Amino acid sequence: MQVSKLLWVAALGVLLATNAHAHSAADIGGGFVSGLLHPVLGWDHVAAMVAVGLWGAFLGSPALWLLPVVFPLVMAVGGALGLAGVNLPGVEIGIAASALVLGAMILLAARPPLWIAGLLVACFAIFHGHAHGTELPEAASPLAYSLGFVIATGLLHLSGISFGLLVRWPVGRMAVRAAGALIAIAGAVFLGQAI
Amino acid sequence: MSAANWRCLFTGGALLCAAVPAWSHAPMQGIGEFYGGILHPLVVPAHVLALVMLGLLAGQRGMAAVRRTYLGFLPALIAGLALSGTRFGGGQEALLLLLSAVTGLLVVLQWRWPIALFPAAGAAVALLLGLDSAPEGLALGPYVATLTGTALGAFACLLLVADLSERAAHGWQRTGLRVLGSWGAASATLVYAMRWLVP
Repeated sequence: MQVSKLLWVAALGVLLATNAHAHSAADIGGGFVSGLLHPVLGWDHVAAMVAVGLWGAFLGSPALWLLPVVFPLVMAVGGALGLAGVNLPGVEIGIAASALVLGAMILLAARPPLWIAGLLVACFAIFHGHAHGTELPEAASPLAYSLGFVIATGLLHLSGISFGLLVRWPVGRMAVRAAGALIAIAGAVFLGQAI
Repeated sequence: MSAANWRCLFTGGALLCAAVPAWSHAPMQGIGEFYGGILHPLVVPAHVLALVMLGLLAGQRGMAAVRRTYLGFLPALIAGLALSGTRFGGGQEALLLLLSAVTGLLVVLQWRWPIALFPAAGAAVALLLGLDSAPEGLALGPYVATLTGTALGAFACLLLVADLSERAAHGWQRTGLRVLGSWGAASATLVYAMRWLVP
């Protein structure tokens, strides 16, 4: 009787015991996918990110590459503020406003000096970064999560740039401005919901 | 509860704790220590990020910088791995993140850095990576096999990224490198900040 009881407990122990992985592939993969999906699953993020790419393409070089480079770097600063527990007022409003303002810039074919465009995008990046950063400590693998959402953000910029390259043609220019109008309208709706 | 039941409970608990060794550095079970070692720098996000950022930076500066990076990287990697089992080993991930953030920013800036800096950059990344790659709970043979694999995996990763980066000749390709640099710098900065700011 004792032997059988011991065997049951032993079998249970063996079944439950798992290897201790310092770098579990599941954690890394899960963290990465979760980070990758985070910006994609929020329409306000998607609209703003695509708008950054579209506006960059609209403004041409060097804004074409400068805006998508500035954005993740400043987003990291926003994320650090979120991690530090700095209470940034109106994060959701800022994110919605980014879609509205950037969409309007594309619609109006605004061509401000490069530093103003960079500053505007950087300001909005703070809000987006703050939203991502506050969720970072809960990720299974924070670095994989952050790589995921930075890459997703970059790919959304790239999709905007790809579409924005149509500005070379008159019809394409109209299509890009129409896309800006759609983003601005979506931004206005998000802003209404956020307020 | 009777003494026999306590004994059973104790045995079960002991089995839970000690049924298997801690494979803290085997990315995949069943592939063996050597191949596990090869994969190790590729599956630890902080390691692969540091290697990619270093490779981008060196390749961006040209073949002379790449060669000098290898000159610093290889001996420092061997030294780091050799010392990884000592009291100096372990806990270098935060410093690797900091280095990744800095090298990522340097890639973004795309300045013509003095060639003499590259052996030092290679050595710094390699030493930290080596020190942070200590296998745990292995006998001498598998231990050496794991470290040999880690050295090969890390060097192969650097070689590949530096070579691809060095081949980036077109304007859009060089812009792509800067974008990758910004992604790496942003991710590393965030996680480094998290280590300091989140209790």
